[in-house]
Amino acid sequence: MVTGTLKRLDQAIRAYDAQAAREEALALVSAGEDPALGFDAIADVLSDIGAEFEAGTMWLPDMIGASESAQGALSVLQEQARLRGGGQMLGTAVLGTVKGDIHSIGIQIVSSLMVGAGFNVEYLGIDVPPERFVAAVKETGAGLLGLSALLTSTASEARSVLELLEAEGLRSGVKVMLGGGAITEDFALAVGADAYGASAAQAVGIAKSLLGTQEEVAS
Amino acid sequence: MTGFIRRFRPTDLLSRSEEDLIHGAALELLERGGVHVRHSRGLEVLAEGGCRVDSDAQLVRIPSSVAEECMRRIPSSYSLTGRDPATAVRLGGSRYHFMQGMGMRYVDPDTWELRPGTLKEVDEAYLVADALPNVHVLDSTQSISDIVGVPPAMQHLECVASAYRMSGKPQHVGYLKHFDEFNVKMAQGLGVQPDVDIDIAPPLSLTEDAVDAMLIYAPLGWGLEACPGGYAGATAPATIAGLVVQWWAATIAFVTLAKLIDERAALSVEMAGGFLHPKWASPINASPESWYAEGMGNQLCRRYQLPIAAAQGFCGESKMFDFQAAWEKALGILSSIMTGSHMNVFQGSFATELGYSAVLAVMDDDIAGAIGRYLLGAEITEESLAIDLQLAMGSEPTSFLNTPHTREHWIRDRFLPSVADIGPYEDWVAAGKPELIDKARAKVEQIVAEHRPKALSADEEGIIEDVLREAREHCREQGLISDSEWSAYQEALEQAGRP
Repeated sequence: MVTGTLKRLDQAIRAYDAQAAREEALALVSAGEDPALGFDAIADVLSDIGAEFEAGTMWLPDMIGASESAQGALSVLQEQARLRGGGQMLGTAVLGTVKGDIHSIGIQIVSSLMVGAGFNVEYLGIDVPPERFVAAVKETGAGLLGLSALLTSTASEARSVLELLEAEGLRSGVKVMLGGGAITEDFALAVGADAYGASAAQAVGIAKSLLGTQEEVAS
Repeated sequence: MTGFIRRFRPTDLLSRSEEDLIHGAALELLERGGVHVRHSRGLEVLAEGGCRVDSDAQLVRIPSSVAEECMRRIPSSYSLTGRDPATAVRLGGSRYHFMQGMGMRYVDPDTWELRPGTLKEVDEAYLVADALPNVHVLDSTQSISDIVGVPPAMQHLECVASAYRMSGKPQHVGYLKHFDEFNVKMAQGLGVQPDVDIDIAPPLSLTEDAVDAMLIYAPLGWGLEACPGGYAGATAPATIAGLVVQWWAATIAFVTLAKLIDERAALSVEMAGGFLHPKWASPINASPESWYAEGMGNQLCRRYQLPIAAAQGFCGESKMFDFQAAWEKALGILSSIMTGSHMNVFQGSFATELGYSAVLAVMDDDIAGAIGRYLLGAEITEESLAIDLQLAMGSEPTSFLNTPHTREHWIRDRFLPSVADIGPYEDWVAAGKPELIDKARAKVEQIVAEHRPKALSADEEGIIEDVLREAREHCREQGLISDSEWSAYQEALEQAGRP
């Protein structure tokens, strides 16, 4: 019974079927099984797809599709784990592209990969004003804020977000990471960010590190 | 069948009236001036076909009606086959192919020096060409034609034999007295069909060897590739138009003789020659004037659906594998293809044909792949227009990454280079800033270590060796290989591990 459910969960994620994946997760917890079994199955399938991505036999849309298909199932499993008093999520992150910048691809990939890695992600989209970032941090209690800017003309908006966080007294409770084509490590650190990510793949490791779920930042 | 598909009509460079003027001028040259044919049987054939022949002067005036009738009977395509049936090529129509390049000597990518290649390096050149996905035809006319220890009389046949050993792909061969007989024996023994590159000496002359080759190869059904080779201001008029008139007249003369030799003759054309350095009069392969002249010639070929095996873009004048080498190749090849060529000699040629490099062939193969993808164009269907998808996604900022349509089409028909770096800058830095040439070098090493061509059967090996042995004996008997050359030859064969 459990084996069959886990197999179908695996298949649903490989078929990019978010609804089916969520239903299999529900079936698992309804049967009273340990949500950790589901977490492991999802980690395995995403790891397989990640390996195929590295090998060039699967591509970015496959990674995105699998990660987002896993999201619904993860929510079910995480809620059940919380009720049981264990199996916490890696953390909550607010992500978005800064005001004046409409580039979305990189930050969406970061969002998908973080979801796949077990983060609860609030993705705000593009052209996000500082006030909205700050409001989202407040509403979700996020411990992590990820800002993206592709244009040199918009990179300075990241500074505005950090200043507003500071003004609202939230800065000490939230880690901030910056990335995107216009952002350099020097710039990120100069405006007061906690970390800089050069690629989407790095961002996941940085997020884990900032939230203390991983000891070293991948760089 | 291999090759790329061109989904769009080639570009015209000439108006219809300009095209008619050039065609008319070429016919006038042949009817009033004539073509020299230095071959008694060739002269007889042309006389029997209705041409006015002055045997003493070896001059043939070709009536326009005869020329036009022969041109109308050109097949629009022909086949080349190699040992591996899956690699067969149909030259012509909407298909496009790349042919391995040629060069006289081996290029040392560390010093840029040119030196004679060894038999082992010739083998490697063909092995790498066999492995490269966008090399469709091997050029065994001259890929490293200056071979250490191999007497000139045997160099071409050794190249052909090496290409058969190292590859199942079809071959493009040359012609030469004391070669043709053995070339045919080897091909027929292996059951393959190459095509043959035959020169027309500028201004308008067919040599005895050239006509011999036409008489041998036309009845076999092998494609005959006419190669007019005038250079503007030197062996042809200095103007683009005058040069093209000469090229076209030479092509018509060649086609006329081929068709009168054998009605079934399959034909193509490679308009070689072009423009010279204005100060030194050295050939400039990569000149916009030559590219444009060839484009005009291509348009004339399309008038008769004559398959075009072009040379434009196969090499330039750069002395290194650098930015200049890349633009000379890329612009040349693209201008040729856009005006209708069906095959271009390309991968590995270097510095005005002076050199050949397998490392360069690997880098060139990425250019070939990119151009092949460009030719494929865009499919216009309900599925590809994706109207329903776009309506469903709406106009608010959103992402198409996680849609079945994207997963279906993300990688389909996409060009991915083998060694060119199209990845993110930070990945390149993280990898230690590798240079393209080093990646190409590593690729060559990998191919040599891992790639194995379609295996020769014992019978096929025997055929190649028997024909080589017979050719060597023939050349010795004919005095084409001296005793000292023979010793060096034996040593070269031994070093290459030849039987």
